[in-house]
Amino acid sequence: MKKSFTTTYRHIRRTPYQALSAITVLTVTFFIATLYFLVMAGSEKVLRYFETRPQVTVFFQDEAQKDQIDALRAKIRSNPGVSDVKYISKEEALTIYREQNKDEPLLLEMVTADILPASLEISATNVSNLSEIAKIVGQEPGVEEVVYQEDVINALTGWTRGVRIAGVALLSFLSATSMLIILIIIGLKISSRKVEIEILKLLGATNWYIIGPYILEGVFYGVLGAFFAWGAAYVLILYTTPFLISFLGEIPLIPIPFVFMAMLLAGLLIFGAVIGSLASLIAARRFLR
Amino acid sequence: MIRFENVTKEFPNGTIAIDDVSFVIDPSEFVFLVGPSGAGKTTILRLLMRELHPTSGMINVDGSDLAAIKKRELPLLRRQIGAVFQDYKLISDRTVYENVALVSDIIKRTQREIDEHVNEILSLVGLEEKRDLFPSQLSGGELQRTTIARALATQPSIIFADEPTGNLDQATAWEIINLLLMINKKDTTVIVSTHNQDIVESVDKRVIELVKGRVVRDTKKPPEQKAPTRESAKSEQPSGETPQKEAETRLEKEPQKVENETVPEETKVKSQKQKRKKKKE
Repeated sequence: MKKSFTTTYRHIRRTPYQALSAITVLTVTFFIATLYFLVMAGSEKVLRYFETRPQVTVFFQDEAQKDQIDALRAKIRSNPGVSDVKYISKEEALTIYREQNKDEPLLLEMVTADILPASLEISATNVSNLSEIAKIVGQEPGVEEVVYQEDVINALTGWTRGVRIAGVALLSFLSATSMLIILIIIGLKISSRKVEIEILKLLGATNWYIIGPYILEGVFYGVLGAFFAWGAAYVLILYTTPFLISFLGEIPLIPIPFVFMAMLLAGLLIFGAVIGSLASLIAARRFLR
Repeated sequence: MIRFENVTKEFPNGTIAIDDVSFVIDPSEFVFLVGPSGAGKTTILRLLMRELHPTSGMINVDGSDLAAIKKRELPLLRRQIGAVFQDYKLISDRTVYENVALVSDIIKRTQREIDEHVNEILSLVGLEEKRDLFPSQLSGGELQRTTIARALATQPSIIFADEPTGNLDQATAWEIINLLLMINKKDTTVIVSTHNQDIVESVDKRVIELVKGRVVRDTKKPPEQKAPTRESAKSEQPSGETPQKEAETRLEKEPQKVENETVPEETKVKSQKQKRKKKKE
């Protein structure tokens, strides 16, 4: 194994520009793949965030009694499709309103707790339960209005699904491209050393002795490309963090936990190594027949 | 032992390279394979290395039938046979040392073992001064000696030298032949394919002659040693010692370890007799 590393090192050292171009192209490819993967992971998280937010808000008439509201709350809670029910009193509604409009004194002056309705904020376990819950609640006495975000969630679900499908397609395409790049470069190297390979075979070298260094070279390109791509993506995320925080608002996506980034690095390194070894193996096998 | 039994090799284009060839080469034997170009000498080497498969017939090397050898066992067979190729087959971007060390590396010797072994072989073939040169920096004789050194590196039981004197002047050709004779003295079977009649006639060894792929002569029992062996060599030398003597001197100075200690008694007696004869001359 140590010998294979030495031979790999010699191959790379003797063709530094080929090695450089391989690593550069793979870095760019993996960088795009990494960014898209982060977008995919991010969109999933955004969707999950919206799914856990109160999705149905029930506003009560002013004359609705506390008992009535409590009874309805208990009834809703017993529904298996409901994950959480939160009561917002008139006073709490005012507090929220004040918090939201703290920079607009004019709006604050005009509003008192009386004119704000009490409400129940209901979270569903599944987005598809929303319309059913809204329908049931709407028929209850004392309820003035039911607002639910089915459309928003539906749009978001569709969007996430689209991102996921596009992501899988893009990642497959980029994987195939990375494999082709390594296959071509290693193939060229093997082709230029065809005579040497023939000699090695005649001298009694095993197949692994011959192709081992080429497979290690492919792994080296893949792993290094993956590492640089991860580094570049991480730097980009850190650089754009202030912008992303203001863009995403309440959605707690940034900062990305370091553990997640470390796992992403591990995944990328494995991905790079697999792509590299597979491509080199395909390139080398042609010459071993 | 090498056994060819009714071996025929026909190429897909219809060319018959060797036709119904049979011979047996005993361990520690030195055999010249002679014949004009295209007689099938190189084909025999390629069949022996199982680079080619015979169309018919059976080839047996040290008890194993080559047709029965599995693909993954092929490297082991090839390590048994030290091949000296007509076109050298040296790796151009590796030095003399690296080319010779390569075989030791293939058989997984440690770096220390490789260093010791390669240095020993290089001094045996007289290339210790050239160890860091690349093949393009060597003369024909030096290239040939490098390939012989490489062939020796696995301490094979058989050395097959394909036209080792083909591109060399007479003096250098003698150096190479003497080196091979010296290797044979260490109980290695040596097969030399050549069309250099002078050398074949001057060295008293078994000759298998091929013409158009068929064996036309096999001097299984070597004739009595001819007197003019060294004289004819001497006449080719510009001055000083004959290459044969030179090689012998080198051998005496740097005796290589004989791996196989159980040398057949017959062989020992034979070589002692030959030495005595030479002294008388």
